[in-house]
Amino acid sequence: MKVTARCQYLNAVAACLAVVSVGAPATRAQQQPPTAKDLSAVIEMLRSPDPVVRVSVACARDVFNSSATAAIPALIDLLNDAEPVSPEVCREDHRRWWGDEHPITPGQEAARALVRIGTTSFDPLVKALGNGGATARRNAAWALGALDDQRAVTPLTGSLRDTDERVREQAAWALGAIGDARALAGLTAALKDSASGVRRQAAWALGAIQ
Amino acid sequence: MLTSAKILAAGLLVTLFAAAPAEAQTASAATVTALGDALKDTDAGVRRQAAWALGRIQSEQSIDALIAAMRDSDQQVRRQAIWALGQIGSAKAVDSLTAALKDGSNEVRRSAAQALAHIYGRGGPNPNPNPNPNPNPRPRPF
Repeated sequence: MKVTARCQYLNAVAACLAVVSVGAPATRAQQQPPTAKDLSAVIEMLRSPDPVVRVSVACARDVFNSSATAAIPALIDLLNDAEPVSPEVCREDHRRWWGDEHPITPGQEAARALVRIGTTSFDPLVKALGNGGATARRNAAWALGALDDQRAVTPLTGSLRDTDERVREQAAWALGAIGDARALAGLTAALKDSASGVRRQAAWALGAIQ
Repeated sequence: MLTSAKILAAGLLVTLFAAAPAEAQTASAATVTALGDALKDTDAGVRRQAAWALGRIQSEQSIDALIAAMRDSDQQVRRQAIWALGQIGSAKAVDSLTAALKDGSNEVRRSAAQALAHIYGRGGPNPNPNPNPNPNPRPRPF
């Protein structure tokens, strides 16, 4: 019963997204930016009470590009959202990355969408890394590593002393991904972290920066 | 008198500024020491990652710690340490690597043989037993 309702909702989302991204089939290949009206529909769905809807919208690849900056605040708000959803909700690429057994969350998908939007997401992500919830801080740390912007080295080094070990672990990963030698001192100190996951990730990052 | 003091101060400043960026460019001795300590971590995953990192950094300073890690209880750690010693390519490690040719594990013996061949052949293949050791399960979105 519940599943059917969700599927109906999903179909509606799919139809709506089709309007957003395929609206003009001839121009789709040229990555035409969605109009303000289209984005307001997307933003509304990002705030849906159904996590399946929130994830489905956030992982719509065609929607989030450098012209979708209007969606940044809604995506930042979603970063702390840890409600698990089946990975099948998002399309094929997830099977390759996370494996079918791992649930995905609106927060993870929002982080991916913010990275796809690009450098405009940088400042809001740094803010979320500093004062978001623990899940938001972790997802922001991941996104800053994936954005690969050297300006993130200082805030991420600060996050190596976050109260939440998953945030510290993700910050260590991000610093390794960015590969800036300024992070070496902070990562060396993280080899003494109380959490083994953080120590592991710090050792990896030290080798990756080299 | 005053001018010589000024020159001395200027010289000191130049030395400080010249030294600071040079140190920031490569892994410091402190980093290599800390990674050597991490080879004795209670968590095998940390020890394995540390050996991998030392194989990337390739500092002669880490050879003794890596030779000690060849007696690790975890086979993956032993293999990663052997690989790292092959990467550093120092003659100092040859005796220990030769001893590892008698290890109880097929994989460890193979890694030791590959590392030795790499050292003798000066740059021959030294396949990393775990070429993508990033333990982070969260990928880039592209």
